[in-house]
Amino acid sequence: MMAPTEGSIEEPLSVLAELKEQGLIAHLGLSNISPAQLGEGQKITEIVCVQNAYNVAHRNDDAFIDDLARQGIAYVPFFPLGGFSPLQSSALNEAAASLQATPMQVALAWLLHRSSNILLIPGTSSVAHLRENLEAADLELPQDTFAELDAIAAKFEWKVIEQSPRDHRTRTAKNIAFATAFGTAGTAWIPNE
Amino acid sequence: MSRSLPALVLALVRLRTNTQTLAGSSSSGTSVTLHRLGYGAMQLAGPGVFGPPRDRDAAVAVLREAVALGVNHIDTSDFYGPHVTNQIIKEALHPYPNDLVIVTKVGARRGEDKSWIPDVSREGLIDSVHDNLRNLGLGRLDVVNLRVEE
Repeated sequence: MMAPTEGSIEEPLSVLAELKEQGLIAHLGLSNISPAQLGEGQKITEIVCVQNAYNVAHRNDDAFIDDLARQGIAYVPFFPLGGFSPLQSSALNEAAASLQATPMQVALAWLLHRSSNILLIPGTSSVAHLRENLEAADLELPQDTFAELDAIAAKFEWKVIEQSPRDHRTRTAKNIAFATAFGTAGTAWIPNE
Repeated sequence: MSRSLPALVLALVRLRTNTQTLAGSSSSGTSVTLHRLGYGAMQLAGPGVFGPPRDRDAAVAVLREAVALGVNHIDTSDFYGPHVTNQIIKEALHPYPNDLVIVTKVGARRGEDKSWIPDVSREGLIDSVHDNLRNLGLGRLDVVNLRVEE
């Protein structure tokens, strides 16, 4: 999964803040960032939303999400099914089957339950899938199912490495995930233990 | 579905209010309640998020259906396609409903080989904002996310 790379965002964000002053932009958000980068950004301009990779299996942003909720800032996760290990997928599939729902619906419903500042943006090019995704709003997640799903991140954690002879292990996990999402990278997943 | 879509009355509620004070918007609304289930437009472009979709009419139909079902938050970028996704959004939904919030992002551009090239240079960001304005048919973008790469 993508993980933010630390580094100053002052220069680019200042450019966008100028465009906001000029009236070309109403509000600014940040994508693929760390809590420290949010702090830096907030010294420059108001930040209304954060968009990062996060889902039931990849919980790096747990504390960040809670902090954003306290600040009244929206959190918009992408890759709702991204980077699941086979065991994590099985757990999700089982939960979905027990609720007569699709894995995507359960993944989305879990995110809706996770925190009230989470906004979802599932994508699809089909009207049927669109309706299916939106039905996630109606899906009741029983407490025990929520708890079971809540545990899969820690339980079956995997680690990613890049299988590239040219720059073995030098690329960051986020690059790999970004490329994988668009089917352009050769990657391998290995268990943590 | 609009009856059941949970709504977020949080940060983004401030959008229209701030818009109004910032740039003297003519919008009469003072706030917008975003439904928590929005729509991500990345898949509307062709394979590899590059070029036109196989079926443009279907892409237009999905967007119109999303809005009809109560979605009022669309996530996009001018680097989807590039340009194509925003142009389809404009074709499908312009003039936009008052409560629709289009969130776009900048910080990358596309190579001719379909690659994603991080670009947070001053010139690149300014060009991207203008590309979004033009292709979405807007005078001001509701929300712009700065996408951070190394």
